[in-house]
Amino acid sequence: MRILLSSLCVFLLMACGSYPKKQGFVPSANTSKELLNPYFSDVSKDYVYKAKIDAFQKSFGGIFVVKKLGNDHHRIVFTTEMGNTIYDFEFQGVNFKINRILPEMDKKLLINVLKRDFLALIKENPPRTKYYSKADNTIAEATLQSKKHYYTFEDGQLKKIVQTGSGKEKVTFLFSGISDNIAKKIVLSHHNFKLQIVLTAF
Amino acid sequence: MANSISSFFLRIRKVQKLLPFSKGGVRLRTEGLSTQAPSESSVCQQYVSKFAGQSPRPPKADTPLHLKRGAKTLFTLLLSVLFSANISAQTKMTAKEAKTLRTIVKEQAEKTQTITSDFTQYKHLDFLSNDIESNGKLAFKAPNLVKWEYGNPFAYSILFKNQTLYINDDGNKSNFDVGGNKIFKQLNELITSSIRGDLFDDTQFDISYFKENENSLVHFIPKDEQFSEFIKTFHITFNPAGKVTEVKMIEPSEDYTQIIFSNRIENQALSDADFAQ
Repeated sequence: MRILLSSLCVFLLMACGSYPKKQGFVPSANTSKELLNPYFSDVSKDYVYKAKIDAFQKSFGGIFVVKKLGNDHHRIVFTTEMGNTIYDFEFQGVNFKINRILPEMDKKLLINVLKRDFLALIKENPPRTKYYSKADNTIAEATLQSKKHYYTFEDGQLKKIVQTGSGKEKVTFLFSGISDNIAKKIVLSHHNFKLQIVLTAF
Repeated sequence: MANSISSFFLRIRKVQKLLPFSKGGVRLRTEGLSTQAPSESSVCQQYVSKFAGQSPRPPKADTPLHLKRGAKTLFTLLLSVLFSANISAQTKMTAKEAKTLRTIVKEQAEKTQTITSDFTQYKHLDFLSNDIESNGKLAFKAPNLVKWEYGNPFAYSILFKNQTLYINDDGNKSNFDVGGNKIFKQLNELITSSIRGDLFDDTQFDISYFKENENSLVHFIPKDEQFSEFIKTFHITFNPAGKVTEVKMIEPSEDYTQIIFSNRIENQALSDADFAQ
């Protein structure tokens, strides 16, 4: 009985631990002022990706475009391969504007999911609260839309963002093929329902 | 695709209660961030007022008066040359010329059973530094088989066949029944007809005809309100033989997709394999 209770306590402690602790990271005193996410931070660049979206056994594609228009100001447009605009969003500071959206897509719930995901994708410097480290890797904890986001850096490069809720991983962003502050491939996956967006740079 | 998007939303609604962020409406439709591209006329007006000396910026005090007048005259002269060149490049057709064009295009379309062509597509978004360029091959077989096969910078093909869209996205195949979707049905008809060029349907479009050097340019404005929210205007350029050389789909935001055809071959035998997914 005692062993069972101890096991239960250990299990509960592990379950209640924060994301970095679960990954074996320990708190550290990093005070870096670098951008957390540099991948959409250059106003002179057009960020153009081929997108593949898998949602509930359906799969469709398109062109995903991100442009930084100014400080804390981005435009995100998704079009079909033939160029027809599906949606056109604008993020400026705390404001979010829908410039255009297909009537079929103009659903509050869907827009909220996309808005939350894309804000995490483009936000360069959300207010960070803690740092964790393990060997040469670092995790920065930041708060975005009142949710904790964990930015994992390997060899100084941002490789992963994890959005959590109630201590659980909700959405993961994986960055690979990184060169000159451009991530050639970005994989965005939801854990509590089947939605995955794979972006491959042109 | 619209069907799949709708079904995606319907299914996402089923998990609505599970989502922590589904409780409150977070969407803000902020005002004051105008993104409408300025119309051609307003751009011209700004251009004219800027260079015709109506700029609110005061002239520098040390600029001699005769130089200011000289500069103004020079700009006016340059402007008139530019505008007259533009006018001579594109003029409205007479009713007779428009009728002749319709006849040439119709005859050309009727004797065209198959078309293969290379194409280059430019997606223009006003806020981007460069247009998004892609290219590939088009195959058409009368009456309504169309396949667009993009090869660069991505492998993607879209086949319109029997009210269905067959897509091959880099090996991932999917198909969508567009029979029940009015917009996609119209888009399909529009694309099919525009490849042949035989699109002169007064009941569906407000049509205007222009001459552009030796070519003809025809503007099609959809009469259907729902469709015009999707594509505001459709421009087709014909060469003197009545063959389509360029298609431009302009969206309500003034952003557009321009497709330029090259290496067009007609009435070459095309097999079913050419229209496989």
